[in-house]
Amino acid sequence: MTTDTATTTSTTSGTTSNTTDSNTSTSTTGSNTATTTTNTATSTTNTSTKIGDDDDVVVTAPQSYQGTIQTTSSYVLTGSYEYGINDAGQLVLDIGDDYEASTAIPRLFVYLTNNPNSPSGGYEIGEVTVFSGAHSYILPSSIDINDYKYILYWCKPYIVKVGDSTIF
Amino acid sequence: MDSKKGTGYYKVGAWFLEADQHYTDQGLLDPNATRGVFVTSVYGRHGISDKITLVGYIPFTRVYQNEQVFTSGNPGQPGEAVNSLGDIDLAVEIQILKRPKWVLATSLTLGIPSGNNSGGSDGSYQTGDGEFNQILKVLAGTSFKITKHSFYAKASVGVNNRSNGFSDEIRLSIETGSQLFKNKFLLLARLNTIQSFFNGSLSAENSNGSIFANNVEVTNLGGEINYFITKKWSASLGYSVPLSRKNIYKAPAVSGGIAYKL
Repeated sequence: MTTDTATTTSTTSGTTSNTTDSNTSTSTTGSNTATTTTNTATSTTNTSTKIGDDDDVVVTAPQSYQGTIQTTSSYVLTGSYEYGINDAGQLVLDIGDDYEASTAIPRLFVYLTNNPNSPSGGYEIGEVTVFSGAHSYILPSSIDINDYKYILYWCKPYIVKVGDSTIF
Repeated sequence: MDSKKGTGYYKVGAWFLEADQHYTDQGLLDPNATRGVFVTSVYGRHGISDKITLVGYIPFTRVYQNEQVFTSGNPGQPGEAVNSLGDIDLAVEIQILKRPKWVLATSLTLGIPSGNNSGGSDGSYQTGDGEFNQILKVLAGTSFKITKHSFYAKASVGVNNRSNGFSDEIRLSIETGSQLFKNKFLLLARLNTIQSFFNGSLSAENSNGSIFANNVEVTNLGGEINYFITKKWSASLGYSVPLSRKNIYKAPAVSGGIAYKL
């Protein structure tokens, strides 16, 4: 499991952080917009690279994804998010104003994973300390935006999944 | 409740539960890694006058989780257990009225935070809630006959004023029982309920990962059989199940004990 540290930035409702501003701006002005076919996340901004002068193959590298966190348990856990690179070049998970999580969940942790049902092999962003409203997790530079496919909310004491979202 | 100087009741007991499901704050069932709680305790009540009885309850608690092994790719987790003194209750019970068929009393219980509220590697193996309870109760008891059988019934209502941001609670209890087979057995049934005022400031954000310490709501129905080995010594076996509930394990509790009546 990756051990670099993520930074959490909390914002009050109605007040958006610089990080959120920059990502929102990017998503609304970006070109070459593509939509993924996953249930909850939408890739909103891409950069394109043409391979060879006469080659029609175009590889797109998403710069941000948008999606919705959904509960997979009986606890309240919901909210939109944007996952992407901010103006400072940092990978950021921005949780939206509509985010809400039950305060009754003991030791709730959030991960980036490639297994939607397990944090095994994933990156532990940290213990959830914000249960309502917008906040951000700034991720270490060692993580690429396409390294992990899922956001996973996990109750550590009970070793059970509480919620998730498919990033792409 | 019926106080008399020099009389007393003393019990060494234990109760146990193990659960792989719990009721969430929505009152719905969710799974959890199997956890168990085993409590051995010493309980005593002693009349220091014809109106005042002192009551004490000292628990020794073991909270454990067995080793978790998964074949689905989920990470395993080694087993863990915490053993420690739990939260001690000390109470004084004062008899207000006594009539031939009924008695009325009040009590003040102080819940001492002597347990461990952050035990284990992740702080979730708690043997106490870490706060100071003050429970004020009114108790009433009566005896009556149905055909040839003598019965007793008692009820109490109390308010638990909790500290450190925990929500206050209202507690209700009803119990009835009867002695059978030439008074060799006592059968009793209990209904207890705890309802939260949800007025505490504590949440998962600042509760040190506490499990089922705050905003608990439960109604338990239980039964107990007591066998009188002698007139003074008895052995008991009990069983209770949660009927309605929030923030609590879904599991019956089994209890037992040896008591001495002075």
